[in-house]
Amino acid sequence: MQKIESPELKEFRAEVNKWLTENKPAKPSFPLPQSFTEVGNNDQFEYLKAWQNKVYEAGYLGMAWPVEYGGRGKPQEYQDIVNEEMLNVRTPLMVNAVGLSWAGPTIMKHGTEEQKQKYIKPILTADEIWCQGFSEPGHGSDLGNVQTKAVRDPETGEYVLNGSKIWTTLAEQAEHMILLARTDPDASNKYAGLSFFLSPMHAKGVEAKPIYKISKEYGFCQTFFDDARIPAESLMGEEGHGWMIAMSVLTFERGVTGGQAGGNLFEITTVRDVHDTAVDCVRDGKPALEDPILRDELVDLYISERATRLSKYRGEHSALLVPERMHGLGLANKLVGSEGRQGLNAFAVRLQGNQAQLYMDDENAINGGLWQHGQLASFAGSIGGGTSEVQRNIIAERVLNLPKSR
Amino acid sequence: MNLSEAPLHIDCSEELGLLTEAATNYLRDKSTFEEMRKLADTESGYDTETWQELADMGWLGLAVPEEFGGSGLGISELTKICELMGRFLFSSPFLANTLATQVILQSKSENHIQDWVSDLCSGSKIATLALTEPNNDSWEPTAISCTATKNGDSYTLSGTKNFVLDGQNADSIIGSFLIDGKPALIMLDAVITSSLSQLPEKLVNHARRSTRINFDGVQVPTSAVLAAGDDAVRVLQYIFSLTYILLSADMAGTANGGMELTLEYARVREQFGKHIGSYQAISHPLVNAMLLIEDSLSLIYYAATVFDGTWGGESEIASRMAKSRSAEAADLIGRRAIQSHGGMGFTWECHAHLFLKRAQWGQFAYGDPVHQRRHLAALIID
Repeated sequence: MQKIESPELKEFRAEVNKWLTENKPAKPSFPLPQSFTEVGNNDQFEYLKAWQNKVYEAGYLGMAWPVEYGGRGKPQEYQDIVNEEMLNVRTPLMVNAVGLSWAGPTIMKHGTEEQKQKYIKPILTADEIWCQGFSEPGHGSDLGNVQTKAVRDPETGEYVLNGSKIWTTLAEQAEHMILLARTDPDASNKYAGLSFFLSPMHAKGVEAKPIYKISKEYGFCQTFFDDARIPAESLMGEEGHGWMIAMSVLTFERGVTGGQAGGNLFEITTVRDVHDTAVDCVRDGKPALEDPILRDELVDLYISERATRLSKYRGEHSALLVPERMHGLGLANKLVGSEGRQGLNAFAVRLQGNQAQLYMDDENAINGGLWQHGQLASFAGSIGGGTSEVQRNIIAERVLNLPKSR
Repeated sequence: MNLSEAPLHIDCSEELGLLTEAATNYLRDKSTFEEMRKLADTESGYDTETWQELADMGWLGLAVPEEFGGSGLGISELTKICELMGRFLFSSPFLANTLATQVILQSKSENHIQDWVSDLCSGSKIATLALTEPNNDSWEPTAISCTATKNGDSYTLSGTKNFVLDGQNADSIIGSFLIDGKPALIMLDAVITSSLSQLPEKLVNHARRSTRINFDGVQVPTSAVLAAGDDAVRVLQYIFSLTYILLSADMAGTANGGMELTLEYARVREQFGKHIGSYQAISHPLVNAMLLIEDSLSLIYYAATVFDGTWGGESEIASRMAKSRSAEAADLIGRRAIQSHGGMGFTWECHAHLFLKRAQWGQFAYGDPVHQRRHLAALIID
């Protein structure tokens, strides 16, 4: 059943669909990343940056953000329609994902007027890419323990950074970083000593080194700070308020709250895509789709996909929620999405039988080995942004009201 | 066929909200563990005063048009009530009576509608369905081997039905039989029903009541035929889909009840100096169960929204998807409820087993998840 949409919105949907279909860039000679965390070379980056810029100029990004900062000041429904149509038309992803989906909304919520004026529009145009400096080599899931130091120089007011951040997606391309650093090592508790910075990447003493991943690609970095000096106005909020802002960032990042600029950050893989692959798969001399066990699994994936789509709708209507767990669906978004993608990719590999052993670049690999790649890449979702284990802890504590687990 | 990729919609009316609140309050108050356990020890398994209250609140005819004595609400409201009955382990012939009433309405047999529907809505009569059979153990509506053979002005019935829900409480039983090899629905009146020899079944779920009935030699007038041939197939398909949804709702509610019981215990029980709910070995499986319940509710409410009783399309697909996922949800939380209670969970006294047992009823009546997915595969893949 179609969602009931006003004539204006219907017309808008048709307009967006037409524009995206006509303006979708031609497939490049190189493979495109399936998620913003997988941008591994400059060709991919420039291609995606040009596309984001084009979408913004056409008026289809940041539609619900205020006009004075570069948005379009429209109701959120308009951006939602654009997002849905991007998936329908299967356009390339938005490369400035951190900027659009969590740094941007955070600046809109916690930033000063000046910061909004300065940062928001270049996020939308993709002229200034953002990266995130939260995790450290010693502290990933245990984010409250970050050790990167930011020491205020009493003479200049500048902060001097020392330490290192890891898993910094797009660090090489980024202009700015949202950075969580320790300003007061002697604070009353580990959280109270943290501050939040909008930190320039092109500063002396900041260096990003690419990390090679299990998928045989680059795509994120370790970022080192060696007496890097950043201006006083890089601080967001007050010293010691870093944890509160970081938590706010995570609600945007995990899709718990709205406010993002919009656009797709992943190439969405649907069960239908797997089904299409399955049609070509043979196992033990027979079409894979004749195998009763694989049929059962495929149907179960369809059920999960349906349920996830429906839960998104249900989550927006409080009357359809279980009263004891009003925030359950929102807090589960990230977990369900990342584990769903992982399960889908794993199944698509399993379907291929003997061929499942081949990887990308092998000329005989089914679908160019994309599923094998997807299976490995899917761990970015179940580990990055808080592991699935941490997500379960959060849901257990905040939704199921169970005592803290540690 | 391709599954719809269009934006999905779920019914969310003001009536639904009001009904939910009233029903939650009523059932929480009425169906305490003590009351539920007391009823489980009775022969009928339900309380006649409560039954009359359901009638007075308009629940017995919830999805029956007002012109026939009902409340004129829809399948979404009915689904919500079934969810809440599961939530509070409420036992009564509600499901049996509701499904039988819907069969009469769907048959469009004016005489039967006139004679029965208002009485079934007012609580003065109870009806049920006899659709499944022990000799084929099939879960599909037209897998019928019981027969009705014409004999002058009457039919002679033959064959055995099982899992006749609340058969021992019913004033009328509607069964599926073959007439000349084609499906038919036949409604037995109160006199014939009371003369049947019914064998009460001993169920895992001791709060349910059902019987096994041998119809050999039972004579019914030709006017007892509610629907025959394609008409009967249509009604059977309609009622099976509706049953999938209502049983799914009952299971999702049961799962929610089991979840609350388990969470309450995990918050207070201490071992090794800590509340057991702080151990991830306890909490993470409960999170997994919660995710399955949330899936189920989304699928169930959607299935109720798009329900039209036809087969081959979205309505059938949605109802089977709901049944598959909610059976898994209810089964998982039922097991975790017992396991999380430790040794106490193994005792009759602890309430945990009540949820697993109710879940098992919903899971294995009218098709388990493997069965539902096999049919979905034929609809979606082939």
